[in-house]
Amino acid sequence: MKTMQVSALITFMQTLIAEETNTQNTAISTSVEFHEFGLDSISAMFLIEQLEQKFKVSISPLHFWDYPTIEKLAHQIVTENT
Amino acid sequence: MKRLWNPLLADNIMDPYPMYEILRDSSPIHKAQTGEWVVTKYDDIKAILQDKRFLSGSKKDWVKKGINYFKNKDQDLSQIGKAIDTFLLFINPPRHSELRKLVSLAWSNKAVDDLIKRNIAALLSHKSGTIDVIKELAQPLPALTISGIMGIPQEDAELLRSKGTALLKVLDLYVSLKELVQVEKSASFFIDYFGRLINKKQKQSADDLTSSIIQKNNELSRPATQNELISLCIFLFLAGEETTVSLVGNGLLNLNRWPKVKDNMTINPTKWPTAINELLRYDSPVHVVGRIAGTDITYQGADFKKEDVITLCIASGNRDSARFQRPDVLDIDRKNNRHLAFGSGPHFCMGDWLAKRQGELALHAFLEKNPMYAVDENTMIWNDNLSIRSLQSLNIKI
Repeated sequence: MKTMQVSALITFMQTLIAEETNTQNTAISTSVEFHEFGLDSISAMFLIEQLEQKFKVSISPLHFWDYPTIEKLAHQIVTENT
Repeated sequence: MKRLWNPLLADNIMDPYPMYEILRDSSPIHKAQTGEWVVTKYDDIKAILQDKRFLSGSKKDWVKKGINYFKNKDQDLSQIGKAIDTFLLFINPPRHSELRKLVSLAWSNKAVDDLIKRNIAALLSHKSGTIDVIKELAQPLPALTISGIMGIPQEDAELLRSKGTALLKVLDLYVSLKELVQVEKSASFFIDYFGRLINKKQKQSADDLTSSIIQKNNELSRPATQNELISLCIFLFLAGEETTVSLVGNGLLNLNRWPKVKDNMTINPTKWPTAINELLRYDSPVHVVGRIAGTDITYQGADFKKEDVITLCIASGNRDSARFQRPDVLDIDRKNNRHLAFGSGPHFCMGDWLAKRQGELALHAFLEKNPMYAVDENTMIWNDNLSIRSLQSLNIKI
């Protein structure tokens, strides 16, 4: 888990959110709150599940709101898992 | 930034009351980071429960949206929707009133007392040393009792109970997709099981609640469909499960924490009917229930928009010092104990009598048999279900 990079998490989330919202990765800002992309508690479940599978981590469902941007969530996941 | 609403923190799972107290004092109608309103004071909770502009079923709507969303991702969650479709706590008038009436017409208290006493005697016999009272008493008791009432074979009670714990996770506020997949499996099992049970009772009626519901349903002007009956019966089976586990388990824990009360109850068992109400207030089984604003509503300075979700922290209201004197004291002689453990208004719990009776008889019998019992708090484990606060394990030396 030590090798986990914030940048890998960020890229993965950008790609997922771009797919969800039918936009380009580059349009997904890392400092904009998730709900501004139109994500809600249901798409949050999907996002968290994908992150958990890809990075083999466990993430609290409340993190989506407690760390509500790509950047904040990525840093939190790395902090918890290093 | 320090958040006021942290229900998933390990400390708050162990003991959510300090968090509730801070919310009551600093932000009693709190717009949480999660988008919902969290309401923690007694008067506000009661007013919203009684106000018809606030509707039930926020969870059901959420599940419906989730089913549609995950259908596009090849994840089928449709059985959850089917299983919870006519859960009484999720539906609104006029269907709510019609189905509630159906249950009350079919329900009879007769012979239930004997059934509960027999179950308790069987569960408490031949026990010695250290036992996990959750597994030995609190879990099996309500499953055996409701199975007896509904005409479900006793040998199926334990399987249904364990599957039910998985299904009840749907009530929780924040669930993961993994948990929902487990809920779906459990929902599928329940639909199949109760479908077969109802078919059997339709062919061969017996002296039980399921048969009685089928019979009364046939007399209604707008009878429940087969799917509605299945969901209603699943609800009746589950409604008194984890809540009774909570009442019995938390009851034994809290009596142990208040030794003078425990001694008092050993000497004065006639106080049980009032003591059970105080245990329900002091550590309520149901901690939160949800409502949706049916329209734009301004209440106590808060602007609820139509479809806003409101989380009512019932257990917090029951510890509100504006309503109860010395709310953090377990006082079995408390007067005028109008707690909210069973809700208020049109959704007031229909199983209150059964819950209280089971709790009272189980705690009374346990204490009578084991007046010197001692809880090992070091090994106790709380469930992480936020809507119902119950123990997963409670070791007691008897």
